[in-house]
Amino acid sequence: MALWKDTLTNNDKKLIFTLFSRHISKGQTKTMRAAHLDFIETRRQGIGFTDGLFGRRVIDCFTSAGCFNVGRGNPEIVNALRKALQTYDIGTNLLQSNVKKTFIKKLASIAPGDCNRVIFASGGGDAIDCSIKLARGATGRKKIIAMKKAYHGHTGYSLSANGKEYYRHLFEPLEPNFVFVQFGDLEAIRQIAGVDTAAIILEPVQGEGGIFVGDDYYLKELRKICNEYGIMLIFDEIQTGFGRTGKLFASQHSGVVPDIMTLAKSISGGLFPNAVVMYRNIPLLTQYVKSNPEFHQSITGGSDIGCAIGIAVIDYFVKNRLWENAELMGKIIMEGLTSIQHENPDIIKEIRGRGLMIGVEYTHEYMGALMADSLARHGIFAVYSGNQPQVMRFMVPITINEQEVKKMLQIIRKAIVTMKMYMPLTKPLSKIPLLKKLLDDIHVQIAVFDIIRYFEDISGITKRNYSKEA
Amino acid sequence: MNLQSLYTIVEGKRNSEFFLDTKGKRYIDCYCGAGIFNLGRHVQELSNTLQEQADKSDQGNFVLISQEKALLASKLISFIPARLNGVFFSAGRGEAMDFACKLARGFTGRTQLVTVDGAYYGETGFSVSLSDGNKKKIFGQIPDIAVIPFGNIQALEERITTKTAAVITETIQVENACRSASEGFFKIMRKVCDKTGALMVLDETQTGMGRTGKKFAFEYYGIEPDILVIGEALGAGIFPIAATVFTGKVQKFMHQHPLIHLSTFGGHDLGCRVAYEALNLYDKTKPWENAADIGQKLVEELTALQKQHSGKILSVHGMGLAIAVTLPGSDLAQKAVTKLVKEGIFTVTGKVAKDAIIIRPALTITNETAKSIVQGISRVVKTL
Repeated sequence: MALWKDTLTNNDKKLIFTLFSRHISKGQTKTMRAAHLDFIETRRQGIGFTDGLFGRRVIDCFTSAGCFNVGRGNPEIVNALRKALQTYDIGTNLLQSNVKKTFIKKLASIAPGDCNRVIFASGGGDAIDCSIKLARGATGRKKIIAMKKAYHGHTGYSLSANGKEYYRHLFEPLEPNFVFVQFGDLEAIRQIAGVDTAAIILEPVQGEGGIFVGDDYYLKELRKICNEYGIMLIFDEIQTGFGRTGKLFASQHSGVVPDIMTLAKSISGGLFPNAVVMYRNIPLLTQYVKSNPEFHQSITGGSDIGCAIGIAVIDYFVKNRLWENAELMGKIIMEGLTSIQHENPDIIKEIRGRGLMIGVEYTHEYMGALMADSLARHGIFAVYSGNQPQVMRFMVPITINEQEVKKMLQIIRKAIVTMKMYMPLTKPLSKIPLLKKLLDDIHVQIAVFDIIRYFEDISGITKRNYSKEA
Repeated sequence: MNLQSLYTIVEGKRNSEFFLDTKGKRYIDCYCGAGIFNLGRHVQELSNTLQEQADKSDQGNFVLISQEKALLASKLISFIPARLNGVFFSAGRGEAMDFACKLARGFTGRTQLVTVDGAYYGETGFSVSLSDGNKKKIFGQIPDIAVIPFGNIQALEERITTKTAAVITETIQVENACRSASEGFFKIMRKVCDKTGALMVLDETQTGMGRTGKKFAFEYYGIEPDILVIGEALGAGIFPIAATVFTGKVQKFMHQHPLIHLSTFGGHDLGCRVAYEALNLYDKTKPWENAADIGQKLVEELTALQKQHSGKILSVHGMGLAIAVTLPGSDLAQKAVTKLVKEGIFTVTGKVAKDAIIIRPALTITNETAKSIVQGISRVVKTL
């Protein structure tokens, strides 16, 4: 099909930008352009993609927030999709099929503890909505304890559980029975948890919130509190699941088995939408689901095609013990980043994470956007957290090898050098309170960067930079 | 529970308006995954497209600009017979409706959402809150929602005010025995919305993409919505993709607040490639013409059947190939569904009107298959 192109001309790119701006969002185009994140992904392979205009390889450190754990365009998963398509379509959500049954069994075989029962959902947000409905339905209670800075999605209930004003404030009032506490603060939970609480929901490692790792003690204590009051413990493993943190599921670091767990993102290797809610094989939950089969029906979640791919993804994980690679490579990246931090204490404040879910916190908020820009110029696609602009997430495909890790660290070093060129200008300015506020304001950054980008483009600097890289 | 008997069918091969179970028994698919297989089961052209494209693209990074999203959005806009301009892709219908509500609140700066009784929009938070039934009581309701009777013009005039962000309704309540409202209802709704600045949100997840005999059911009423919700029929049962489509005016919100609402799987680049081909296929085959033609015959024949068995069939409603046969009571409807399954007709009762059997086959259905449906229903009704 001639329609979809692997190599783009300037005119192709212009057309794509025009149509995207016209029908989706002008603001998004501007934002991406300003930060040099105006990549058009064409060929997707391994740990990255080709930028269609300049033909250069880009390392994908965002991976659609953790969708490409098995690597992009993984041939084994692609083949599974092709094979499934010979027989299957999405299928009928109300009926069984052999692939559905097999996938459910596979999921159960890798599940943490007895959290091995499955409900399908169409995506991450839908899965969170389902998990909240399950907790409320089964316990007959309404109150949900969620975390500040939490990110669970954008549908009605998942947004209600989001702990960041930015995503909520224009759409309020949301469902009101959510109480927010600081992530990691047990005392706060002890004060409000009780027999009226349906669930405590959290990400074992907060992703979008800025990569905060819930330590083993914290999670174990949460389990105890939940046991004491009959509260459902919900782990949102949409980003942490499927090997990302160095274990198949992040809960396995602490050994805490959640009552309910949500999975999406990497479940189909980034090739097909699917999601699941897994729940413990305990009467409270199994009986509720059995007697209320219509409590959450997804039309396309658990599709036959999705399940067929899911089987291949799990097989690939287990065969290659991918989570071990995540742990190993994660360590090397952490060490590399830590030494970069020591060399640049004025830029990097902290490195944190688990496995290949790594966050770099810069010393100033405005640096997130500057670093994204500098990294992009050198061939890494990474984004700062929407919830936490001074924190950049590094979530490469967990199939990454040592050589690729080396390359990645080299690029980060180069990017820091590039960023330092801005520093003589921005650092003194950031000492003036009003200007610091302006510098940290994402809208101001976008407007300024967009103007800079405009002059770069007409002077041909962008093109020269990129062709040098290629 | 009524679904248990259906759950025992193991779905195997599928083709045009049929599927087989793994034992080889053939069923006419009158459920179509809640109205997603408009172009038939396992559409070969689209299956081929996805097989071809499987190693050429993937989901893509959802925050990035992509040729797939851009071209599909543009194509979808020219496909829809209304002056809409903005698009946001989702993975499923609930998500698409939830976004429609958020968009309405965000754009208008108002909070009130007005919905209608008898509605069903999906399983996510906003959708549950707006739908009929007791789920919102059990699972929690988004505040500031008002309910008016579907079809009641006076209620529109009284309840939609300058405080209303949006009025939300399906064009035909498929899950509620295919209940419809008058043209006047929709015309007045449009007028009141224009007067008050409230947005008109139409959910066409089940009625759109040709099911009712036109591309979209709003065409029957001579009106255009501000926000239109399109269901997974967009991916024609090969790929999960849905969309929320809106006017250029409303789109200002998306220009001003990029990335305020995100969907990882919405606008999946591979999905966009499939949906692009699906739209080509919709344009080429115009399945709404067949839907109008066969739908009319089906309604006529089922109405004739109702006259023969007036105590057993209470009513027949429908538009195109969204048809409901209402029986006296949900137990009887469930019994009929179970018997129809034995007859090789796979159908379910409505989610809202559980006393109605919903007939929504592939739009590519032949006259012969349509006759089999009538004959099957006739045989089953006699035994009730």
